[in-house]
Amino acid sequence: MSIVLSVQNARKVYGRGCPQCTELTGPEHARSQCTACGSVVAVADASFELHKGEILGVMGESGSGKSTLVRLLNMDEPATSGSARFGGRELFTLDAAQQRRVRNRDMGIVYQNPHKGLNFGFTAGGNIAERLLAAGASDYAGIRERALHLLERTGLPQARMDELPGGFSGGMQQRVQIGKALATNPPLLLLDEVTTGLDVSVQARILDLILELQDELQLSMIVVTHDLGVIRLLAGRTLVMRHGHIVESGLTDQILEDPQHEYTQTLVASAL
Amino acid sequence: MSDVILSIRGLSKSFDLRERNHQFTAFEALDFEVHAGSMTALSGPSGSGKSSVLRCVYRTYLPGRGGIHYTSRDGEQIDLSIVPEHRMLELRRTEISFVTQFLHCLPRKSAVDVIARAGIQAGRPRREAVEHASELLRDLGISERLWSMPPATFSGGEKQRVNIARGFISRPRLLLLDEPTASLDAESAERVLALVGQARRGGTGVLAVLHDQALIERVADNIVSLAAPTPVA
Repeated sequence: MSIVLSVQNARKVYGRGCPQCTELTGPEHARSQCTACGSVVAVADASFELHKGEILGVMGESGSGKSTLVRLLNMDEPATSGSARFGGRELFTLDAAQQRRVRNRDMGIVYQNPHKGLNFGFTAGGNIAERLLAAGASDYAGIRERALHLLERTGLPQARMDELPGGFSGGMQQRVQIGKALATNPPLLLLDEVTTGLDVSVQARILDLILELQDELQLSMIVVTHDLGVIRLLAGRTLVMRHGHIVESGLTDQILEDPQHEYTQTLVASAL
Repeated sequence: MSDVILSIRGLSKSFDLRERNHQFTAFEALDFEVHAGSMTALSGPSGSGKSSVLRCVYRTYLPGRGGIHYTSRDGEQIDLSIVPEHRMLELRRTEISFVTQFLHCLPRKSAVDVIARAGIQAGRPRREAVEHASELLRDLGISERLWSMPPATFSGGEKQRVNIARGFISRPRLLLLDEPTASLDAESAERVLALVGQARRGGTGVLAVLHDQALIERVADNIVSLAAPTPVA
């Protein structure tokens, strides 16, 4: 199996930071805010690898740093330090134009909130077209055909391609987001709490779609969620984050059945 | 003596529940082997750690002290207690199957698809995997009208058989079975045992937890007895 993404010591500090930040924050202190300088260490020295075709779960409660980690990888925010090698590039030091290029062509992201991932002023098909245009496509008929194919693949009724996403159900909006993320056939998908807030039946269909895409396209994915059921179904391996640190990582069933860290043990024991 | 597929040496497992500051031992200092084409059965009272042994071999539990030496299909010697995670996942897809007592699967997939997916992940073409899945369901006596239904709606015994079919479809070299016949009637249990026999004739080594002593005597080649749990002081 080939390595798609290799993250080494990724770090994100909000604030000036000081030499004591590392010492004064983390799970053993039960905080991510440095008591010396007031900076927040959102992600502290995260290291992991993602292989081709693999789904990696990232779990942790609100404020654990899991969404910040995804934002760093999507280059929505600059990392404070560390490295992320992806497709022969170092993501954390790309200039703005290179960032756009990678984001538009080589990775896709799906957010919990469809308003972050979709332009609600464009139709479902238009949202996909926008991404294809940003990636350099120019042939109108080809773009429309590709959009139609993607929406069909993600399970959106063809007849609704030219409607605005505002009129769609939450599950359908997620399907359009997934279609948009897949538009350029990227090898990497980032999924940030994509099923949170959906009805269980809708959630099941979205999870089903994600696994089908993994099987068909050999996509690599990072799935961020606080839902242990989602992690169990999707992820082969899982990272557990707390106060910005990866406190535990391993095979997903091992993390859920024989957690080693006190925090994971509490989390698993609290699950319904 | 046939080939050794799995050799367990001095294996122990204990749990450390940190929040409650409580440690306990699941089992201690086990030694045994599983040979190609044969069945080793774990026997012992409830709580003696039989299922925990299977979980350690499959790495659902992190093994404690000791070695879990596995010989892969191409002759590689692998200590499963320290093998890298990606390699363990690959072995699970292609060589080592675990039939647990509970079926975890996608809620809306049909029984055939749930089983076939495991075959596809083992590298088989989709059509072949689907055919094999249907064949297994037939062999296990699952009525054909259920094949395209999601297992969530099945009875306990039907779910258990879907789980068993999923464990067999990759034609594993090592098969871990946790009470495979526990929720089945006599006829279904015989069908499962027939399938196990067939796999063994194909060279699969089996490590099984079985509840029924008479059954153990009948089907197992080796019996490993685990001691009753020691009361916590």
